[in-house]
Parts: sequence; C-alpha cells; structure tokens
Amino acid sequence: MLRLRIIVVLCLLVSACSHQPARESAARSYQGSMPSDLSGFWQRDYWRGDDVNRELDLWFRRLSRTSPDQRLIGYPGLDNSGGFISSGYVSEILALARLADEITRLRYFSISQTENEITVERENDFDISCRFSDGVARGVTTSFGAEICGWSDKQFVSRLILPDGLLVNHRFTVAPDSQNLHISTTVSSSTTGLSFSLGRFYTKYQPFPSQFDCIDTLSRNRVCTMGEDSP
Amino acid sequence: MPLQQAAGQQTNNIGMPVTEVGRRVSELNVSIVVFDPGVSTDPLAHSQQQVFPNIREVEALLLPFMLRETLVETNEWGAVRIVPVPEVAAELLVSGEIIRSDGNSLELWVRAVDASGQIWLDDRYVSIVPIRTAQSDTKSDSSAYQGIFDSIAEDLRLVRSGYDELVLSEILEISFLRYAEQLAPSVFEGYLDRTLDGLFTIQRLPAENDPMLGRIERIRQSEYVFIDTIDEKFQDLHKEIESIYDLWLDYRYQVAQYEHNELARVRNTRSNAPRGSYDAIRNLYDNYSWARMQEQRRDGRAKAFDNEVGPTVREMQSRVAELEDWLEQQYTEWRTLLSELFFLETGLRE
Repeated sequence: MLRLRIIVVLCLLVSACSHQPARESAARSYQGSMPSDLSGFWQRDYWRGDDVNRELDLWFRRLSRTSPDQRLIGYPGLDNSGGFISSGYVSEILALARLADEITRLRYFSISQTENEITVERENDFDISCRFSDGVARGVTTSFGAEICGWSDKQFVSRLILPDGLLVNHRFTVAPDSQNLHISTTVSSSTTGLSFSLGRFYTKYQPFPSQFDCIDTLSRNRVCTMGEDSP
Repeated sequence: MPLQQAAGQQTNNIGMPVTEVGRRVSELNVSIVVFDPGVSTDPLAHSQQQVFPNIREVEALLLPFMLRETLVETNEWGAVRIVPVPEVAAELLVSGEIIRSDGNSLELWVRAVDASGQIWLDDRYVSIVPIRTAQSDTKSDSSAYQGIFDSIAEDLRLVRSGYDELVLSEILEISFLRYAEQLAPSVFEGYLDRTLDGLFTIQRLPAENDPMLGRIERIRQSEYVFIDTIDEKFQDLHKEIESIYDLWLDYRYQVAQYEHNELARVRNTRSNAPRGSYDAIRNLYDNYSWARMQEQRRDGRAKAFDNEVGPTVREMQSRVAELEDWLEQQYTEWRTLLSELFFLETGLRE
C-alpha cells in the first residue's frame, strides 16, 4: 500500500511540475520589418499585473488540488499532517518566486528599437539587448551565462541561460495601440523542472523634455549644452 | 640630368653617394601607410572580441604616427611620412594591421617592402603593458607601446645594414623609375623588368640628357609638398587627440585588471549556499548581470571616446580626402602634359 501511495505521489508530482508554462519557443529570425514596435518609455501600471504572494498561493493550491491527500511541510496556512513533498521543493519555488519578483520590480524603463536591434534599458540591471543580422537574432555569451532572443509571432522573447540549469525568460507583448505593454517573466530550473511566472503591465509615457542636449565624453564625462528649444 | 641625380643621388668629394640635399643613400625615405584597423566585417563579433571599430579607426591613424616619430628620432632615415594609401614607388613602404589592442597589449602585423619589391619585414609584433604595482601611480598611456615601435625600427635598421651602398642606390633608382613609369608610361616603359618573384630590376637607364628626367623629378618634389601637407594633418591629429587616447588606454587597462581580478574572485569563491536556494540563484543572476553591465559600460566609454574625438578625426579625413582628390587631378594633368611634350619632342604618340 505504501509503495502504491509513493507511486501515486510521484505521478502527481510529475503532473504538477508539468503544469508550467509551455516551453518558450521563439523564432530567431524574421523577414521584413520587426513584427512589433516596443520602443518608448514605460512606467509600471500597479493596478494590473501579478502579485507574487497571490501567485505563490495559487501555485501551491494547484499542487494541493492535484492530490488533496498531500500536504506541504512548513507552508503556513495549510494543514501539516505529514508531507510527501520535500521542503527542498518548497524552498526552491520560493527562491524562484523571490528572484522573479525582484528582477521585475522596475518602475520605469525604456526600450529603443531600430531595424537591427532592440535594447531594453533597465536601471540597476543590465540592458536586455537583441541584435539582428539579416533578420537573424544573435545571442550573447559570457563566462557567467548566455542570452538568446527572438520573435514569437508578435511577441519579443529574451531568454537568459545561467549555470545550474537556471533560466530567466521575458516575453514582451505590446498592445495594438502601442500604449500598453505586458511582460511575462518566468524563472525556472531545468534541473528540478520547477518554474514560476509573474506578469507585469506597463503604460507608455512621455518624459518631460529636457532643456539640455548632453553627450558623454571621456575626458570631461557628461557635457551638456542648451538645447535648441531652450529660451 | 643623370638618373642618379634625378633620383636624388650625387657623389660627394670622397665618392660617397649623397643626395642633392645631403641625404646619405642609406637614408631611404620611408612611407608609412595608415594601418588596417583589423576590424571584422561581422559587427556581432565585435563585442565578443572586445573590438571597438571607431576606436580602431582612430588607432589606425595614431599608431603609424608613433612609428613615424620613432623612426625620425633615430636620425637614420630620410623623410618619414604618413600616407593615406600605399605609394607604388615608395623607396621603403611600411604597412601594418592592428591584430589586437585592448589596453593590456598591442599586437601588430607589420610589413615593409622596398621599391624593388624586396620584403624587409613581414612579421607580428606584440607589446605587453607592464603590470603596475599598487605603489605605482603611473598611468597606462601610449608610451607603454613604445617598445613595439622601437623593435620595428631596430629590425628595419638591421635589414638595411645587410645591404651595401650599391643595393641601396639601386633601390633609389628603381623607386624613381617606377614613379616615372607611373606618370609617363609610354616614355619609361621597358626600363624596369619584373621577375617571377615580383622583384623589379633595372634593364636599362634613360639617357643622361633626357629632359624628362628633370620634369619627373620636379613633379615628384611638388608631390612631396602635398604629401608633407597630408603628413602634417596626421601630426595635428596626434597633438589634438593624444591625451584622450591615453585616457582611453588607461581606462581599458584598469578595466581589464579589474575584470581579471573579479573573474578570479568569482571563480575561486563559489557561493556556499545550497544549490537551488535563493542565495545561490541570486548569486548566479548577479554574476551574469555584473558581466553584462561591465561590457555595456565599456561600450558606453567607447562611444564617449568617439563623441570626443570623432569630429576631429572626420574633419581631418575630409581634408585629407580633398587633398588626395586635388593630387589625383594634378596627376591627370601632369600625365597629359608629359604625353604632349613627349610627342612634341619625339613625334611619337602613345
């Protein structure tokens, strides 16, 4: 009987762990002009989007619904009548959720887009940059990981591949009116099969025009002159 | 005018070949071509190889000038000039390609060929910037690369020392005849022969009283005036941007040292946090983020360098292009004039 229960638990775990966003697929090439225009200055729309605690709650409830007999060790709010799911899994999903939350806390960012390049400039984090050559996206490789990117229909996808099977996926979807942007961020582990997703909404805004035209130089750092429109 | 005199050679009181301005035969004029920047045509390879194309374009103009200064200071050569394109009839033509320039080291491929086609140098030169100690407050600047230019100058001197005066005289004569053939092909065709190895040899010499010799020499001196004007542009460029280039080199050196140390630290101090924990995955993410931000900061500094020196460089290149266009027009006029004169004097058409 115990053996049967273990087999059932394992099957349920597999089905629970498979309840993750479908593997991101993105074409790394396109023809003609870019499928969507993501460029602009974007600010967070706090009225919409996922809340990390709510999403965690949903995640664990889905897991417990798949097998009501299963209980999670140490997770507050649920009965702890013995667990078949290790605390390691709990720690890992919490870790993934925390990372997803932290790297998507941007209030403002900007996206610049040309025929051959998309750059997402983020404060206190590296710019997500995707370059296209003859319509084919080229990734970046460093000693610490790699980035690949591309288009999935009209959605721009950027994937970060880190050591130990850690993956960070951003999927950018711009509304038809180009005034709203949705970014779905998935942090996952290919070794455990666990993943956690958060969606954020952003609205486009126009920054206040500056009176100064500034350029960076090497010997004098930033040099500014009065702009043409200044009085 | 005898060929030797036209080619700039005379004999002094004791029979030593000297030029009409007192230049020894061994003091060949050196033409240094603007270096090949060595930039890949694939723009996406630039960031992988840490190549900044705009800065390489500037280095391709600056580094030949540094070699020029080194050769001039040896006092062992004739006129040393920077030229924008290779001169067919240069007495000694030096060209180069930048293989690597990253603040830590400079690697050049240098080739030197004399007017007869003999290769003097065809080799790779590397200069490593010495590691600065913590106590050292010396900045890393272009003087750190002086060793590479000293090596090139010394190698040129060594090769030349293997040639006797006769060979060097012949180089001057071949240089003149190649120049003459370029300007008046119908007049000077046949004076030189080319071997299967690509070397030029003198087949026959023009008559001593050939009026064309004097004309060619006068034209060549006029051309030297323009080449000297172009050379001055390179000197001016060097004066204007040398300090900014030194800043860039120092920045690159410091960044390279920092990244090297940081990389070693990260590799040697792996996170003790359990695999899959928040600390562990945060560490993985932060390491990647740091590496990419370093790279993007470098790109930003390269852009800053271009913002500062770009306008000066482009203006200089524009002026040089104008002078070259003017010179090309002059060539056409001179060729036409010489052809007409040849017909008038000999009755022979091209």
